[in-house]
Amino acid sequence: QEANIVIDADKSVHLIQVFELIQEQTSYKFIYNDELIDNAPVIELKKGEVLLKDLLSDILSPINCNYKLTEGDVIIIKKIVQQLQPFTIQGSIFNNDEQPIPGVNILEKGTTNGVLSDFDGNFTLQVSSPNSTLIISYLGFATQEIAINNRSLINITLTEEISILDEVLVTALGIKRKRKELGYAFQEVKGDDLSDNPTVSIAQALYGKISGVNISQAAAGIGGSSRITIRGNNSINGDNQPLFIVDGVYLGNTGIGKITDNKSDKYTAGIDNGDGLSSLNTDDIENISVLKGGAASALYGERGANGVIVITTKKGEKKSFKVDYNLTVTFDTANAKYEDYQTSYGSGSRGLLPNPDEINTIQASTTNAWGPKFGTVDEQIRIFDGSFKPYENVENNIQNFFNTGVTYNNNISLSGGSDNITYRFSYGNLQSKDIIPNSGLKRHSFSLRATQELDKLYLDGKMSYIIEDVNNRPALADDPNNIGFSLARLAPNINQAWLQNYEDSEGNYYEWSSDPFRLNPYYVISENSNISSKNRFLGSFSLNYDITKWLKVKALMGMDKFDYTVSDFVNSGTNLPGRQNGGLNTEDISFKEYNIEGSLSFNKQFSDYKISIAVGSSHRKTQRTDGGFFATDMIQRGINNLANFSKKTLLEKTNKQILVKSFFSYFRSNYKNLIFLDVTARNDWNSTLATAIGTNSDVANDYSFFYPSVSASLIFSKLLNLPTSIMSFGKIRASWAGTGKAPEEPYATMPYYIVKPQPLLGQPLGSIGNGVVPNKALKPEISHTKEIGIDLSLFNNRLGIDLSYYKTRTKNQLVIVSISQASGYYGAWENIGIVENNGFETLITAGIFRAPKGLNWDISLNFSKNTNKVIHLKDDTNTQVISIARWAGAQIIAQVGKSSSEIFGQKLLRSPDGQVIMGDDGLPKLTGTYESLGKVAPDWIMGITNELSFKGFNLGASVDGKFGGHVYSMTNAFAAASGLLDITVAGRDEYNNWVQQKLNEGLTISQINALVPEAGLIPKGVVEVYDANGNLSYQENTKPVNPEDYWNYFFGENTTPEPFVYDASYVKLREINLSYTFPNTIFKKMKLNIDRLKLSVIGRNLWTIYSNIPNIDPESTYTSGNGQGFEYGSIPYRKSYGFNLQLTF
Amino acid sequence: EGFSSLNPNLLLTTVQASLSGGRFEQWRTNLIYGEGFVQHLGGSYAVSNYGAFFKHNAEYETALWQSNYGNGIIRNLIDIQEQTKNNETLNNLNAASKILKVMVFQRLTDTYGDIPYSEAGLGFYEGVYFPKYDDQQEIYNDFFVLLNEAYHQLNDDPEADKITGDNFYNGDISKWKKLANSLRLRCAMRIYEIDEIKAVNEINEAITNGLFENNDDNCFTHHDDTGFNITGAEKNGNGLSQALKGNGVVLDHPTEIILRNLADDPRLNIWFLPGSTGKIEGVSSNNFRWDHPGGSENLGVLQPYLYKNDAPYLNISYAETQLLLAEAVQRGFITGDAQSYYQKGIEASILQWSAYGADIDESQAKEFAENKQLTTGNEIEEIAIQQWLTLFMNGIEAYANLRRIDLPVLDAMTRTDTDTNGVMPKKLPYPGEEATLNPDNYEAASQKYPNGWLSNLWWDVN
Repeated sequence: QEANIVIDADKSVHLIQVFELIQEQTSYKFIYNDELIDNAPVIELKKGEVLLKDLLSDILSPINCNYKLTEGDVIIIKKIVQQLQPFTIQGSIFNNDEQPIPGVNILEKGTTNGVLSDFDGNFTLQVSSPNSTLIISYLGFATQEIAINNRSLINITLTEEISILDEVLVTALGIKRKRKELGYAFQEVKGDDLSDNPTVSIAQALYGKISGVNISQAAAGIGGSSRITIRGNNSINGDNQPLFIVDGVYLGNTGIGKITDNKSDKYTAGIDNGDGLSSLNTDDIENISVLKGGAASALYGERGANGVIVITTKKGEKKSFKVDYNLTVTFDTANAKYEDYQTSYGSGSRGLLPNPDEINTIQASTTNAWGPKFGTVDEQIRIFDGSFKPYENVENNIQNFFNTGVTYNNNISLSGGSDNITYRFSYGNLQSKDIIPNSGLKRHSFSLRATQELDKLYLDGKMSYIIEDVNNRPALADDPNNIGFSLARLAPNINQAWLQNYEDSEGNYYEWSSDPFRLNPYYVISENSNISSKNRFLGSFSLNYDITKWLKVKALMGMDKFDYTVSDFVNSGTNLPGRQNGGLNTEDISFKEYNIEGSLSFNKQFSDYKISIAVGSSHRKTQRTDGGFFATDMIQRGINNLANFSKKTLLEKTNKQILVKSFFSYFRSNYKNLIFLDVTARNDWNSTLATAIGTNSDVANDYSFFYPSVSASLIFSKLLNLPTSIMSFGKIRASWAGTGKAPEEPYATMPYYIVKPQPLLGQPLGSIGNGVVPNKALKPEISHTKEIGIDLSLFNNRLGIDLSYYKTRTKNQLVIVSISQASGYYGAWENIGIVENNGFETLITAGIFRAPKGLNWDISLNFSKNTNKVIHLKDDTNTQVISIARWAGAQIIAQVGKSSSEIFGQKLLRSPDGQVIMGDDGLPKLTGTYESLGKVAPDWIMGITNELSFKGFNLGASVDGKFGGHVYSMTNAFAAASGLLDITVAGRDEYNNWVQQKLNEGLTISQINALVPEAGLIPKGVVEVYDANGNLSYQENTKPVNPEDYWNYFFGENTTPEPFVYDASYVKLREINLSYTFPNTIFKKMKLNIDRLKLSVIGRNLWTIYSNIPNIDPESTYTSGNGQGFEYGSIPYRKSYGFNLQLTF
Repeated sequence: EGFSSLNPNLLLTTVQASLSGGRFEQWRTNLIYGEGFVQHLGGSYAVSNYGAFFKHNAEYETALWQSNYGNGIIRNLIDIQEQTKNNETLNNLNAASKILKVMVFQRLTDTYGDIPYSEAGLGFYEGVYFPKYDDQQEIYNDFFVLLNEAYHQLNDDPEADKITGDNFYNGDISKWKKLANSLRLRCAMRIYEIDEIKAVNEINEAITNGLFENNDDNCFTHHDDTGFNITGAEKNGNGLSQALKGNGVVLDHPTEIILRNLADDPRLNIWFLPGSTGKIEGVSSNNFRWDHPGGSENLGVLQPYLYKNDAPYLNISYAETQLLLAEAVQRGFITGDAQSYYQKGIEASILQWSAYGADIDESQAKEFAENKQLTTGNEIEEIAIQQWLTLFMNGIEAYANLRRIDLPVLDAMTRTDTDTNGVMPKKLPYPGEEATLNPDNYEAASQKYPNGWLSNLWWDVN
């Protein structure tokens, strides 16, 4: 103990290193509990010599420990046990403004001994020792621990605390607010939560996490677009997705291509080229705030009506330097089982194999499974390439087409700062191979953010640049390249691998099916290609300047710019109409959006009142140009180059610009941190609503619009003064707001002409560009939202409840009303209709176990219900068509009294007791009129996230579900018509035997076709019977039909979609992850400069717990536009599993 | 890029190209229902199953309506008229737009009957979103007015304004005049059964003002070599050509009846090539191609120049006019030599295919025509057969003409799977969406056609 320890230089070290130093120089050994020294502060050693006992007491006192020397030179480190010594302490408690605070809870640490401060903030407490520690807690203020240190009189200043309720949130226009102040619902997701189960898409990461938010994604896989709606669809025709803001910059989230188009019609097909959100790097995200209601987003005026999602990216921290490295590797597989596909009957028709000499019949049989039962014929069957193959079921046929995809996501960031500068640079590298062979994505993301704080000035600049290259994005819906559609129709005996033989030795394409509009999937992935690249630049610069303590100026400039090019190559040689000689379609899209915003704010406290007033203005300009080439007549087969085509057509060039000027203002007041009142106002002038001067001077078009909001909240728990153990916080809130929406298209208010890029024999072809009658007096769509809510924090913050009820009425809907085509136009722009959404949202957070060093279990449960109703359209019309399904008698329609997205079609005609009525031909009769077959949007959406942690282990799982929506599955309808589904088996043996019998009798197939079947499927239902007096009665149907005719009956435009409209409710285990965070003491012991190492095993979409839809994913959709509710040849969705490594040093 | 104003001559070209540049309606209305109904061509699934076998298909039936009303033809036509009316500097263009209006609307009214006409296409100019359906008689009356006005308005003075975007005649005003009168003759002959006095009157006026004088006057839409589905150039290629070879191979063949009527006729080899047997075999109008005895490869096939992308499209011809005159003489509406008109019509009808690139022996054509003699007592049928042949590949007009004259008698439909018990429909149905979008006007019009597509049009008395 009297030994001297030599310290060779001044240094900062950890306690463990001091122990090591001692061990090196003496014979002592240390015994201690890791936990005791876990939080030891860094020790500053001075060069020189020091007595061991002095050194030990210096380093142990900060952690409240002393030591004992035992035999064998072992030093045992132990906690100081305090002696009892009664002592009286007096004190006063104030806030920052030197106002006394009554009712503050003062507790002696480690005991139940406590007292409340009196009206003047004073207290007196008997404590057990002059070295005791006091815990001072008061709602809304940071809890403090104060060591008495023999003082008998202390003054304590409480500072307003940063707790969940006081956390600073990023609200409209990037204004930071405390949660408790807000008079509207607000929810956010932290970047840390995103990193627990990393995804490459923000939309994926938000699934089920935010109440009231409905997310869906088209089946395009990585890099595809998503659809996010908040609190239901407000608009019948317009964009229903929220506005996205990244660090103050408006993110152009409009999709590219028809798949994402809101006006998706029956010709929707093509490639999902992604949207703005799909290319953001999730690793750069600090926080995502979801502004759901009108009051939250009213400051965004003409774009705030669908809510706003504010994304804040990471910054560096002051006085630090760290490097973060993050690696995620996931494996993706096709998430589809085709479990209701039949496995007993193969290619053919009427129970007979296709005639091997008729190539047309053989081709048709690839996708027609009305042949004989497997095992009943010994023959081999001839297939489309002329070869003979065994006639037997192929197991897992469709799934075998798909690969296991792999995604590597590497991210590295360097961040840090000095006293007043912070910086962060990050680089992300994403490489993904999709489950579809030859499809994949590569993305490089660079991001740099720096801030500087000067005396009164705060500067923040950010740039990010994203380079995304995608090869062979899958084609969706009714596109000849849609692989999903082709595969889902293969007869069970046609091994998908046989399709690899798509051309003969001379390179001539084998027509593999009866439909030349469907390309062989292997041809698609091998010969055709689709290459796209997107370069996106997001930049922002903001400046805050404090003119005085109470007057501040803020300015922000932001830009989002991307260039997108896509080339779609179809090799020559197929029979695809119009592309027999090949084709190359190149599209170039250039998008720019700038916004400049400035505001002046005034903040001041007047005794009990705190007031903020601000005025500001913003200016945005959005510009998009589209152009490209379309080339046909390939010169040299297979060469994907524009020069290799002899005919090139310039695509129509479009150039759209939108200008919006705005003024906004807000007023906020706070009375004693008890009552909060906010008023906002914004006025917009939008160019898409303006009519060019001169063209229509007779109409004075007022395109200026005003959007106000008021919100208020009361922290009633302050009045109730309940103990924290019951209620620590309680707030009620109410708000009312007006938000709006302007057309996203120019020329909604005036006519325009276009000239086709390709003249005809030297003569330019001009035409009117509007397909829709423009409307000189168009107004913006207006949404009025009322909202009330309550926030509770109960039982020592162990249970949080956030409830909201809202009602939004959207009127003056910007609708392209369907008009008679005979008017010369398909529709007319009008402001019609009222749509109402009302519902409630609940967010419950519960800390089931809370043991700082032990088991922690947190559950967060959210559920929301939204009722969407069309209140009124127009005096003379009750329906508005939103989307039409090609080749199927189904539409998505908004109907007064029902929701704004209903699946419409003819229904099966039923008897009064609900039985299907068969006609004379033995097939069901139809109602003849279009009726609703179910609504598309779900009633209920829920999500549960579980976090279980023990020591360094963390188990996270989230489950989400939607209930009450519907989808019309054209995949199943087509598969049934092709005889592929289990449901098509009934009656086949009977019918096929009858055909055999007739053949044995010597009849030909044509003769049999002309006969009425005597055996077959007897559809369940009734027939109408009239007696002599003309009275109608119903008798059970007994008429057999060819099952092939029956199932083909539901295929086509003049039929009913009813049998294939499914309840789209589902519950999915969305995420599961298990991680281990290594204790950093390990690295310290190992002298590794590692702050944090976390390893996780992650899984996503692994289990569909509940679904009603056979064969396809219940979320399947082919568009992220408004045409939800249709599914068509979906490519299987992906499930993925993998691991993640996070390293900080 | 958008323009706030545009020279209406550029719109004229678009409307002219639209008459035959759209594969959509050329396949559905012209080929499937037109050519299929009249048994010119057949054998492919769609042409036989829907056209030859008289089956409903809502999408096919309404294609002409959709492409003309909704897809911009009428919108642009109305815009030319609005931009040129009361504008002396665009006088000839205005007159041409009147003629085009008749061409566009005659096909529509002959196909559907009463149609939106006087209020059609006025969505922007007049705010008419739900146009009324005009009575077919009134529509025809207006056709005569328009054609008369156009003829008198057309000014071929060199100082007069030029039609610069003219796909038909490259601005030759004298030919436009003859087009107006030839159309007037066609319209007049269409209505003779229901209103003979008016018909005779209009026929005489048309003749007085001057009809087509030879094949150089033929009204063709000229196309370029643009294939199907070419974005930005949808109307450049010949839509019928694209429809015929839609799937790479032409799957329609001559019918048995057309071959019977082409015995020794030069048009047999001008139109068709032999199948694998070396003979030109025809498809039975009761069969699909694959039902053909010996296999579909034995069937005759179309000469490839008939379906080139840049094949012209014959809207109305000198031959048609001559044959109409022969019929008019025969019916006693005018005086003249029916035989002479008949022979001129046949000769021109053969020679007119040279515009497609056919190599025609003119002397053989002349000889063939001169040997054609009208048989006493059977003149009308013989003229009708020639008219039916002349209108080959113009199924919409052939179908209208066949309903008017009910000759030739086509091969009987003996199949049991027709939607009409084997009777050729008399009109095509209106689009179903009109019933929901424009219900009052639709209902009023539909009531005139109680038997649906088996209801007679106004001019179709029998």
